[in-house]
Amino acid sequence: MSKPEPLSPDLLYSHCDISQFEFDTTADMPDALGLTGQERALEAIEFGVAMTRTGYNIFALGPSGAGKREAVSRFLEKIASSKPAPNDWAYVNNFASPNKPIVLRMGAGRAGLLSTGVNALVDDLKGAIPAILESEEYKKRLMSIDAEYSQHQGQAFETLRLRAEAKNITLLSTPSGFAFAPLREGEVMKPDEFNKMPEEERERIKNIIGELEQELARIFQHVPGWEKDRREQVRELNREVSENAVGRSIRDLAGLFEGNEPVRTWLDTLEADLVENIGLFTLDGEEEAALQAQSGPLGMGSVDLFRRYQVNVIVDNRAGQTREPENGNTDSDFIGGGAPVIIEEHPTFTNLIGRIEHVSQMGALLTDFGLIKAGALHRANGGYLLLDANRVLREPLAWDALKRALRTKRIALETPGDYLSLVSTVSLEPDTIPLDVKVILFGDRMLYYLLADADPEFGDLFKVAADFDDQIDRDNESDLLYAGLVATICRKEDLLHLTPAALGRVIEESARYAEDAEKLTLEMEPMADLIREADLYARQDAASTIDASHVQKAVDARLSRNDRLRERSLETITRDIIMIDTEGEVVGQVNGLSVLSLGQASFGRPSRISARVRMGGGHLVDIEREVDLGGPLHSKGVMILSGFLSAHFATSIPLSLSASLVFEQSYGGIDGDSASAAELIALLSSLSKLPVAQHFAITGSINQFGQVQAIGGVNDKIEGFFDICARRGLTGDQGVLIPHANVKHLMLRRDVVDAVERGMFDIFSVETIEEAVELMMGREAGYRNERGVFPDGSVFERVEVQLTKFAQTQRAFNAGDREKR
Amino acid sequence: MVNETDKQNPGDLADLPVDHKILVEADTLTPEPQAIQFAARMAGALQARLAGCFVENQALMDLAALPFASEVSFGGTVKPFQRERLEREWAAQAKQAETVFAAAAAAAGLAWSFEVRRGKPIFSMLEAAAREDVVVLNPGARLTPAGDLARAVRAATGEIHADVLLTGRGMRGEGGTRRTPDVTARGTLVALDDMTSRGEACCAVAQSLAERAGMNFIPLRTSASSLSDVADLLRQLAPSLVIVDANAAIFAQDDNVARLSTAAGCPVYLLGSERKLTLVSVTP
Repeated sequence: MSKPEPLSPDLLYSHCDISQFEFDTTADMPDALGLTGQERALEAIEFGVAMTRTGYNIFALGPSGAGKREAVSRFLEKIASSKPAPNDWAYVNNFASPNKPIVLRMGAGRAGLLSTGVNALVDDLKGAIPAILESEEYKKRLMSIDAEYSQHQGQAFETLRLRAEAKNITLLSTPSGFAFAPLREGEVMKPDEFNKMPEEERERIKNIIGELEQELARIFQHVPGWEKDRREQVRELNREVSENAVGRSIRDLAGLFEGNEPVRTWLDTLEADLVENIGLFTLDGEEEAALQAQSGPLGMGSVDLFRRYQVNVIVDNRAGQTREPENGNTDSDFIGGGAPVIIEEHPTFTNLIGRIEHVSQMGALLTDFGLIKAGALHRANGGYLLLDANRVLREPLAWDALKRALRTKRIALETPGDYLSLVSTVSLEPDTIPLDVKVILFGDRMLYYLLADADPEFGDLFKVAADFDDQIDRDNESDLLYAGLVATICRKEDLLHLTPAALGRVIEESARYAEDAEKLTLEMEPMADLIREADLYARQDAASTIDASHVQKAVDARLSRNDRLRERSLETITRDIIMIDTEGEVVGQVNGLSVLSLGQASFGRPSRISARVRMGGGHLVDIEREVDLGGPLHSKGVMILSGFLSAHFATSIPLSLSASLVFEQSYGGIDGDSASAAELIALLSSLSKLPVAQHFAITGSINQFGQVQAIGGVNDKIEGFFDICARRGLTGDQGVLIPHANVKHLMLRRDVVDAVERGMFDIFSVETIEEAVELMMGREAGYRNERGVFPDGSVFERVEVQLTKFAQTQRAFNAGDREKR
Repeated sequence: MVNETDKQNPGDLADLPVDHKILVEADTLTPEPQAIQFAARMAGALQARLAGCFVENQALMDLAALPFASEVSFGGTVKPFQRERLEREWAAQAKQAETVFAAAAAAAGLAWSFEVRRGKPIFSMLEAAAREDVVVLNPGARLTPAGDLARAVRAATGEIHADVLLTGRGMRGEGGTRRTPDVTARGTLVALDDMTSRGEACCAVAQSLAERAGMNFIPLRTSASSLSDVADLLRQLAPSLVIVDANAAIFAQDDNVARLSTAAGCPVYLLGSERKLTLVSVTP
């Protein structure tokens, strides 16, 4: 097998072919919908939107910054604009039970009509009712009723009084009633006079007074009934005189709501209440103030006792394309324009389901139907509600309230206290509102999977997963789509447009961000940041467009801003505080590569990996794992090495090896198996006692068959080792071994590519551990021949010899031990 | 700063009494705060002292001493009528009435007094009345026979030469037509002019009071002697206050005093037979 050749420079960086761009700047490009390259997600959304059955709400999952929400909302707006506007909703006073406000559903744009109609009606009556009640006819009839009542009552008293006087008895008022007293010469009889009377006479007077008292008691018992009759007559009179005025106006209004029975029923109760309370229209200032003080929020603020008749429109879909009602147009067929697409940025419990506000009056918190405020669910009812899943889950009670509304398909207005049954004070119990809304939640994949796993209701309520990809294949077509996305960002944010060269750099950075030369990232926020920063530099240069140099300057500046940690890391290595050899050969020591990610900074850093072996019981000791610094994936990688060794060498004898592996001078946690190739090389070197070239670093994971598998962060890792070598001076021998599968991910920095072009730095791709061994140990790894043995002098032959020795020694040691016993 | 007397009409000052009062009946029945407040306003308008008189009915004390004395409550229950309880209730009512007086007087910035007498209702109070006083009676507040009311009015106006203000009945309409009399607010003051010299004098007093209180003044010149005719005319005008000569022909019948009070729908001011122009014009 021939020694692997280093990769050619053109494989290290995939340039964007800007010749394909036939525009001068991205200003010439049309806007691109954010769903570019998201056909699967788009199909899911189309399906979810079209499916009207319960539970087919949508969870749009994908990486943050991918523009999911913007893309979906733009897509929905297109669909929504072609749909009829949903109903208006309004809360009105329940005159029979004011704590149970009535909800009214009306066609789009109709609630406003009802509200203005009722207000106009009340205003009209403010003028008409006093005029009616001041009329001569009304006064006469009222006096007639009063006279009848007075006569009725007075006659009864007068008759009794006359009867009493005929018997020389008078009727007197007492502080708490009436009393009869015997008279003598027109004055109440004195006790002495009475006592001087004969016994029979005293008894007679006593009996007469007793009878009169019984009669008076009967009259009193009738008084409430007479008073009730009088009130009823007055009420009937009021009804009669006001019905014309009230009824005529209400009939006009009710005509606008033909076919809407709940509205017409409420208008009937409104009419009855107006007639019952026509006194409200004739109050003077003092009476109004007194009534206002008693009436709570109904009299809140300025003197407005007619608040009870107001219509609290909580959802008004009149805006936009609503047309005014036409002749013959009825409430049921009135159609406005467009279903709502609501984005709730702050999805608290009350912002979602609405709230019942209170006002403080005389130290008490009071409320009424007019203080009911709509939530996002109300506004989105009949349309679409877009929510950030993470924010909903962070807000207390919001998630449960949302699920309950979706499950019951109703919006029940409650305070958080009521919801948790924490308070038992009397509050409003408004009618619930039927809910027909499509909720689209946005979140990352982890959140989706967590919810799916932890919340049994989630799957029932969000049956459609719109899985947004974070990458698209990179080709000429996608480059053009990307140009459209960039153009959209520039227009939306009023940024300078990009030249083709600048766009090419952005596309290359997109591939770099995707860690794949053959892909472009769809996480547009980092790319938008890059364009914004390039825009700043372009404006500082007084340029009219963003050029490639501005993009490069933005890339360099961003690296520089985040460079402190990388610089410190490099410094500790170049000052030999962290020991990394980049020249010479050492047995059992290999340069591995890792990536450090801290905030926005992410960079590669070499690590010295060492291995020591001795006879033992076949155990590989992963020192990182022993001290709990190694993660499970790292431990898995080390165990795979054990599998490789035991299956590859001396298969007929026990593996009598004890080995220890360590990341030298590593004081933080390590995870991932990307160092397993380096660890295997270190082990093989230690077993074979053959040195490893220190001018190489290697990254890659190993399987049990010795194949080198792909890893992440390949660009950062290569650049990390390159930076160390460059600081110490490139020798021309140095280089990095990477898995062959990672070649397609290479988007290396310009200086690295330059060094490779100049022959000062090499990058090798390897597919097997044998290739890596040969490169790093400078000697054939060895393949078993037809006799099943490795070639003499090969690395693997020396490893197998060493392992056989360990086994023999182990056997001898065990035999001696038995003899001793 | 304008001295109040600078704006006085010299003619009005001629017979201004040194100390005259508005004497308000606050007897055993619940004193109506509205009546007291109205009296306070009148006192303010007339620059008079507000005087309350609570009369404990001696007849009730006599009754309470009888062995079988009992009373029928407003709820229709017959119960023993006891002197101790009666005195407690009087004391409580008098205290309550005095409190209302104090508040009304304070609100109007008036001097005030309050006394409790025992004797015959109305007539005991009249013992405290003097010439040029205004006696405020509430015809609807007791089971006062029309004859007694008429006699009391005659005694006050004819013998004592005081004026009488009838409040209470008719001050508050029924249904939706409540009308609060307020002589300090803009309203209509109607004076009945029966085409006699006394009627003319009555109009002059009324006009002076209307100007002082900032009210609209309407002289109602009529020779009608039928109470129902007068009542019809008054209802059309919807006055806030009616002033009429106490010796007008329409009061020939005893019960017409009470009936006019009801028919007017507002307080009725009965001008005493010898009352002169005593009003003072000041800045409203």
